[in-house]
Amino acid sequence: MSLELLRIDRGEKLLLASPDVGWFTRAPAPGTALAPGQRAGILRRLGDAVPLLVPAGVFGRVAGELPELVMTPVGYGDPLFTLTPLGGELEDHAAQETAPTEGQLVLRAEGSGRFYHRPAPGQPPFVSPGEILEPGRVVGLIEVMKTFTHVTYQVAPARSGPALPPRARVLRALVEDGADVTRGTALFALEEA
Amino acid sequence: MFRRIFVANRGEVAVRIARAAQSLSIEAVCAVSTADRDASWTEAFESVVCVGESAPSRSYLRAEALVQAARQSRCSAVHPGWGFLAENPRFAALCLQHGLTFIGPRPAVTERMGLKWPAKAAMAAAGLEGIPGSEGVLAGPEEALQAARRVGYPVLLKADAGGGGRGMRLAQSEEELPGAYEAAHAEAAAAFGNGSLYLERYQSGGRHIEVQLLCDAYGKALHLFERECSIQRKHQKLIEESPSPALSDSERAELGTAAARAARQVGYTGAGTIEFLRPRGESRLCFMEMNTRLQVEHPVSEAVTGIDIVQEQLRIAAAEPLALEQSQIALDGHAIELRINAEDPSADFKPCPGTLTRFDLPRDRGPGRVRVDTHLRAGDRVSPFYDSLLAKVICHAESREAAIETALRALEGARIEGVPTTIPLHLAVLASDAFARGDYDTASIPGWTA
Repeated sequence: MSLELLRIDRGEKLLLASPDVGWFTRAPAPGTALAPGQRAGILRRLGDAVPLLVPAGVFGRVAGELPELVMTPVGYGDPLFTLTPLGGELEDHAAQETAPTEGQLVLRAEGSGRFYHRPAPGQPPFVSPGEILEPGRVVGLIEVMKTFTHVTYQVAPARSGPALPPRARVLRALVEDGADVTRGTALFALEEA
Repeated sequence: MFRRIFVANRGEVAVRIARAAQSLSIEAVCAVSTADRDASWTEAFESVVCVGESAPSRSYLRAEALVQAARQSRCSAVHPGWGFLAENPRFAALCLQHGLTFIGPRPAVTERMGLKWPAKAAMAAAGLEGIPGSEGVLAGPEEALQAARRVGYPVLLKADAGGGGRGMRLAQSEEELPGAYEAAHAEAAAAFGNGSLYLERYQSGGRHIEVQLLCDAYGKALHLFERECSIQRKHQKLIEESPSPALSDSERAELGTAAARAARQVGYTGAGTIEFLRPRGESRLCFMEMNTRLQVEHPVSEAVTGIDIVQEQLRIAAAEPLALEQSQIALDGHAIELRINAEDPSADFKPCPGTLTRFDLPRDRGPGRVRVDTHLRAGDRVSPFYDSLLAKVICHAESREAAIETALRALEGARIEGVPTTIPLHLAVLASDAFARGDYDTASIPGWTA
């Protein structure tokens, strides 16, 4: 069992933060070069000790003073050390894959909340790629302040962009199950059917 | 007494606990999610520990992370507040296992009482009659259909691990039941981490009356009289008052005594509440459930008895005996609590997150006294990740009429901008003749027609 450190980009600097609550120890010394998958400290939590690994795309040298990080209590997201980047792969491939392309027909969220593709965990999604949507068709659930509401396909969205065709084919989902969305977030890529 | 406690909760209840801790010279540390890390209410705490991301399942519902956070911040006790893990016996047990006092009943009692079905069986054995329903939790929609056929429609599906109206759905007929089951199951799983449901015959209307209890570790059980919580919308309480206008003095004494006796019989410790339903047109009070935690509406009972329930919780958890006797607890006047939610009354009470550009709730309106419990101030963001409660306004006066008058004046003076609120609804209820007469039940919202 291991955990990946959280990456925080702050201008030129790159911070690596704790992925959980616990006591942090065995921090790498200043000047150590780090690469993806490398161990960079240990987090002790309720009786277990979890190695912390450098996340993908991060190449850097530990900057700053020798930290006093010996069994230091840390919280989720607390910065542990600063890196001076050494170049390498820094683009976020995942973001590119899910972003809608220019001129793409998309179904957007009407409000803020958490979006679910499935009626319940383990159940099939409301819609899958290739399916045809018609007005009123339920495409997901949105959770706002613990209240669940169906998200339906609408030809004339109330407040989120241009009109959609009366029949549309689902190309792909643009957000993950359980993703936090805001008004206007693209949920599905569509084409006219 | 404890030197430092950990609050495994957020927002209004966290601030309420911090205040009680401070009055007993106890330091308080709070768990926060990334969404709450910079919230203004965290100033009520000595420090905060971030336990994860905004979704409750990734922060406030992470039992191990919360216990770790309590330990590493050198706290000796954990207060779970309400909601989240407050009624999760596994969490209580995990605290004890790691040397932390859990501020609440013992896990075995929480397990029996916190899960609604075993509670019903235990309370029946302790002499409190329940509402007809399913025998235990339901294995799935099929079993729900069978149970509903036996008790008759309409039926109410309830989360076994529930509370606060979450994971609850009404089904009028066999056609509606599978859909209601699915919705209640999903909501319960998200809110409580437990999707188990049970079913009861739905009592249309009726009055929701609950008894506030305090039980110490030495077998003493006291009641702080009842709260009437029948003004509800979508099973969410909106207005609570004490005493209930529906009970006579002798009924009041009898109900309190019966509830305290039952709590003692099941080995309860700490602050708890037994909820009863008085079906429409009947005089009997049916046991609904026991909430093994502090409740949102506890200030109503504090106002009429002068007892600080959260301070008592802390004393009981620190193994102090209750100093009071039942005969010393008297009803003083009348109190009404109004829950101000960020919801739009003109759009079917849709929850509305947003930023509070103005947030003024006056405390200086007579003839009675006004208490405002809130974690917010102007400029704060109301997060879409958690519930919509903005504030509770508690009005206490010598008589029910004076309490209503105070409440009307307090809310007329309220200025909240940035999010719509339930204040127009409260004003309509408070000004209505039906509410003035005390003539309402859970199916009616007096003075409100939208």
